[in-house]
Amino acid sequence: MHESMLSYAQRRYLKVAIGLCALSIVAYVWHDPLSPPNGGTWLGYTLGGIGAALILWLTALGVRKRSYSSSLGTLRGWTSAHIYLGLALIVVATLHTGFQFGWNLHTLCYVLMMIVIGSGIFGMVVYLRYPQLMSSNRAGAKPDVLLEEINDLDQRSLRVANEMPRRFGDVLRSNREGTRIGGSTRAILGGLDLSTINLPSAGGSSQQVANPEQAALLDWLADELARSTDGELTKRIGDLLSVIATRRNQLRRLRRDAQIRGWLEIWLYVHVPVTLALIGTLIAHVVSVFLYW
Amino acid sequence: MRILIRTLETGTTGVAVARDRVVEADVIGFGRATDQQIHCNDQRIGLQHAKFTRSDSGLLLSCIPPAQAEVNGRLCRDASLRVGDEVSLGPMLIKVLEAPVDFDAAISVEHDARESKAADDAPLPAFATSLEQVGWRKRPWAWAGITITLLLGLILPWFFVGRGDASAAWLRASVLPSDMQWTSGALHSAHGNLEVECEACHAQPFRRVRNEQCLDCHASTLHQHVPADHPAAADMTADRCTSCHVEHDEPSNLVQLDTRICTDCHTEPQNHGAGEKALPVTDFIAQHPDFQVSLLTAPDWKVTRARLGESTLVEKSNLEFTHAAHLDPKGIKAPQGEVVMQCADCHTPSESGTSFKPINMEQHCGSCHTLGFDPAEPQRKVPHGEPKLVMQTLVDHYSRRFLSGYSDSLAPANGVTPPGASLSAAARARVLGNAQQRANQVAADIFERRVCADCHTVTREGTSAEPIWNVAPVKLTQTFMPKAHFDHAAHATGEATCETCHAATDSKVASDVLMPQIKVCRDCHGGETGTEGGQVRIASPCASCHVYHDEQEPKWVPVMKKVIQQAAVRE
Repeated sequence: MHESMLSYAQRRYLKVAIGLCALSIVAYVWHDPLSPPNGGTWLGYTLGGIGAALILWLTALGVRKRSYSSSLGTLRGWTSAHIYLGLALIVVATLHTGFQFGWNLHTLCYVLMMIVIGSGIFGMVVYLRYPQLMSSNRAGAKPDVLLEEINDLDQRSLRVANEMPRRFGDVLRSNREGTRIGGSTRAILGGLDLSTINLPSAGGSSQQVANPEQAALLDWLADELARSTDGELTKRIGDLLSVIATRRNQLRRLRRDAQIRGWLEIWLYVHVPVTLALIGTLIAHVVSVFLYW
Repeated sequence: MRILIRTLETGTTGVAVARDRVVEADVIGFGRATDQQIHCNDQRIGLQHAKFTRSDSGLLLSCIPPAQAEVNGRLCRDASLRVGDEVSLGPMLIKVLEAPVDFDAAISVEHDARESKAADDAPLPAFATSLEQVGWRKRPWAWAGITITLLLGLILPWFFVGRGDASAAWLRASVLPSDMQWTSGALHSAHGNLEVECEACHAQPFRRVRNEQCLDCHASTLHQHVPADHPAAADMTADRCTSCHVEHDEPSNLVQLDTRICTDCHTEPQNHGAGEKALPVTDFIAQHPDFQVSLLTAPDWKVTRARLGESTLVEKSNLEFTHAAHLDPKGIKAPQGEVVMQCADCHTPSESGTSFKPINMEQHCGSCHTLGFDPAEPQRKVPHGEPKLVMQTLVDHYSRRFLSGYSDSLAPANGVTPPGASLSAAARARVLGNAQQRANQVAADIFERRVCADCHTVTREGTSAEPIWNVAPVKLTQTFMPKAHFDHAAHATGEATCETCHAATDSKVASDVLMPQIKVCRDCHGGETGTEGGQVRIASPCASCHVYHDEQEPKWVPVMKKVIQQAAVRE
């Protein structure tokens, strides 16, 4: 999908966007008005009108996306046009300003537009890269399947632990309860493991410790393995080590999955609200310049 | 290998149904793929998860990594199976059965009953793996974005502007965003006082700034763009001030410097209603006619226009004068001795520094060219005025002197009158006659030889007894180029001297016109950009020398009143 998003219909919208940019630049260079170039010359009004229409039309992608029964072209076509014409907007709107910027509403409108386009470029880049990463990470298994697998591994390890001293069951249950995937923005986007585990400590009590990548549990099991003199127990600890290592790998995939999905989404939390702020500012910009014509 | 596979399925009625099938193959595959002999449609199971092969002791299980199996409660990847062994593979439980006769092996396949149970007593916690689950929202921020920007960027300032000037001013002074945020660029410093008075120009919402608003301040000082007889005069009066004088622009420049404002018509002036005399202009460097000068011309003192460079111009001022003699570097004779004169001795700058004060005989010439006539009374001078007054002064002077007993070698003897004695009438008449005669002699000397003739053209009429002298009046052109603005002060830079532009030291007659030709200006001044002709010079658009709203033009207001009335009628 991501490839065809850009190459849709022999890059029809890329050609349209390049044409629009070229036309705008040629008109701007040729125009040479009496006063310094600004949004109030006839070309300024024209570029501003095209820019405003583009902004509203680009925003309509958000509406089109939700309208599954729409007959107004394919969603892929819309997305392709959205990307290319959105990029063309940089040229159209910048020429509209005549490179006059200041601490005012009009420049705020421009800045918000650039934030929207910038976040859109970020979104486009992650959409081009991350779906591949996501499917190679998932390797055909959806997150709920991976969770099922973890459940399965937990059951197996608990069944193994039933045949072992009680502390093993306690530690495994604590490991299960303390397992974390995501949990905060930082953890999701950073792929951080905030898991904890209660490990038995000297004196019969237990102590909660961080357990990233199941490291604390694996260390504890390795420690138990080293101290074990019972052959049967040693074999079972070995089994647990194997299960927990598998569990660690599956958790890692889930976290990576959440991380990729996070990056695939995060830009939209900038793109969409700032778009609406842009539309508010755009209305204020257009009305105010004619209010004080 | 010939193997019996018994599948145990529990139907909806709860009755277990066993189905046997016989498979003959070297390898019995277990997996999600449809070509596997034991097919298990579960996402956790790989396409090819494990395989069974024959061994000497029975069956051999090997899992394809990373798959693992649980054999009799023990996790492993490979295992040798015996009758009675139980293999847990994902959701399936496979038991090794006693092989019937003719079979190498037999297994049963059923759903693992333990598998359907919830994992022990500790449920897996819920995970917040999406941004939405950790509190990210688009919709409320989107609504906030559009609401806040509209409210603060438009509605609030508009509301206060609509309530009147006082409310708008209050908002501007407050910390709240006011209509000041709508300023697209700073005002020109000349309009700095209006920076926080938007309504001074933007008087009505959704209406372009009108000329009345400009005239509120500029009515008393504004002159018309161009002379009333200019072909474009009518068009220009109908224009809006702001179509040329654009505010809030960067760089801020209220004066329109674009050459096209003139050259649009002046490139082909005859096509735009100009007379034959108007010459084409495209640019100061590329195409600009030689300068024209205005000359006050004797005897009727009409202003004549003449083009420099076409022929040797003659200024008819009636003045007898030579710059060369006055500027002789060796000096010139003066009452106080030899003096080396400078241009500024006579040409003193005006208050603004742009031009010069008029030349004045008493101030600029009188210190050398004294009007004394009687060596016995050197302080006594004839007036610089009408010849009649000069004569009166001389007669008065000599009458007084002769009557008081003065005599000189040139005058007839008067005899000596004792102090206190009065002259007889006859003697008095004789003395006065002598005085008149003496005055005539001196007048002839100063009019024709010594004083007046230095600078003036003098002719003599009347009789020898009553001569009448005529002195041709002198008038000097004060402004040679009234259509161009030139700032002398701005040019007093670097090594520039008067001589750089005005060839005065070589000028031997007063009729020489010492105004520089266009080529002199072009040494330093270029066209609109200053880079014309591959040379970098000072950028000099039309407005560098020529101005609209010239003070010589009539006031703007009467014209504008008419335009405003016409506009009102149209509306």
